[in-house]
Amino acid sequence: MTVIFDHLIAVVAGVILLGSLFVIQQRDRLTRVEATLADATRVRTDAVLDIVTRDTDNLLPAAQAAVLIGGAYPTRVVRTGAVTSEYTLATLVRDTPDGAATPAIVRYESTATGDSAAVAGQRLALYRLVRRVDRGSGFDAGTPMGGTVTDFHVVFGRAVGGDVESGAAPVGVSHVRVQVAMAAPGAGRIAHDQTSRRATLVARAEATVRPQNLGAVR
Amino acid sequence: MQQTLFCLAAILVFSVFGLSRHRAIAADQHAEARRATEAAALGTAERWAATLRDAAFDEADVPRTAMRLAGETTGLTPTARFGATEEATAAAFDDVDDYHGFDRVETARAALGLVSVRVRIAVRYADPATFAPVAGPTTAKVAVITVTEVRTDGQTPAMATLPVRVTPAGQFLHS
Repeated sequence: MTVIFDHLIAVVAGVILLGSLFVIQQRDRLTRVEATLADATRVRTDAVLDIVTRDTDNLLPAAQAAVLIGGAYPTRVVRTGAVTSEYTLATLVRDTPDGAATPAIVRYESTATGDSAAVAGQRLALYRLVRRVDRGSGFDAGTPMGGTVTDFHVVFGRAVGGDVESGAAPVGVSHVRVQVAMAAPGAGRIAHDQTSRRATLVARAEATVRPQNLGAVR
Repeated sequence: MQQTLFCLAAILVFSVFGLSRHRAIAADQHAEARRATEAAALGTAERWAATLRDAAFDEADVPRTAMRLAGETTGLTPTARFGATEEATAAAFDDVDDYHGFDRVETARAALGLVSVRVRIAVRYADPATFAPVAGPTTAKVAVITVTEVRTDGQTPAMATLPVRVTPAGQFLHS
């Protein structure tokens, strides 16, 4: 009887050990996957911010845009709800790294996807960000920048008169603040019982750009 | 009996192992959250740096239409008068040294939600060649912006420090 009892306890203990090992392994695997996703999201967010800031760095003032592009000065931001739904600017673009810079109008459009991501107990609305370029023959179809954008915020700053979050670029604008936040791809598809508690599955990047072209002209 | 004791010991070892893994994961996530808060603090510092760069080099330069040249120190504010001595409120600050002693708690956007940060600015004259701090009026100033996370749980706050070099030419770049 004692032998059977000892074996029974050993079996129960063994099951508990195996169960514990399984839980630890699962948790480790989930952690590694989330860490990889968090890194990838941070890299993607930085890449998107880099593109927006590069365009902003080459922002043309009204006088230059009138000569190089013509028409009304297009630089403006439109804020809809919590995010900037449109950021249009006259700038210089090039299609290849060693190609010539050409004047163009670039427009960033963020539209709600209708989906949301649940991260760390918060449900965040997702937006799709698209970069469209007009080289004189109308805006192209656009380059997708990401479909898991949770925040896109562009503000014109100036020394006198305060910031402009929605409207045309004001006279005296000296710097542009850009904020981009993105959720990890797939965060919106995670079932409720698998919702991540890792806050870093949302990455945020921010830059304040002082376009040198604005100096002497505007 | 020996087997039972052995199994209990194994369970104990695994429990300790599991808890140590849990602690390591929590530490990783805490470090990531801290990095995100530091990024938010740096973003706040950059915003204030842009505001400083929009300001005139000195109160004496506010009405100037021509750039102050190197070595031209006439009329510059003495260090002892740095701070909000000329303007009553931050909204009226119009030159760099007005921000000396600036201290404000505001909110910054972090990865998820908002965090409270404390912004402090210290301004001093600097050697125009090396930007090392000096006492007397010169045609260079350094503003050190320090943004510290406001925490009430006693843990070490995230912090970002951004030195901003200012010269008389700055105010004419974006006029």
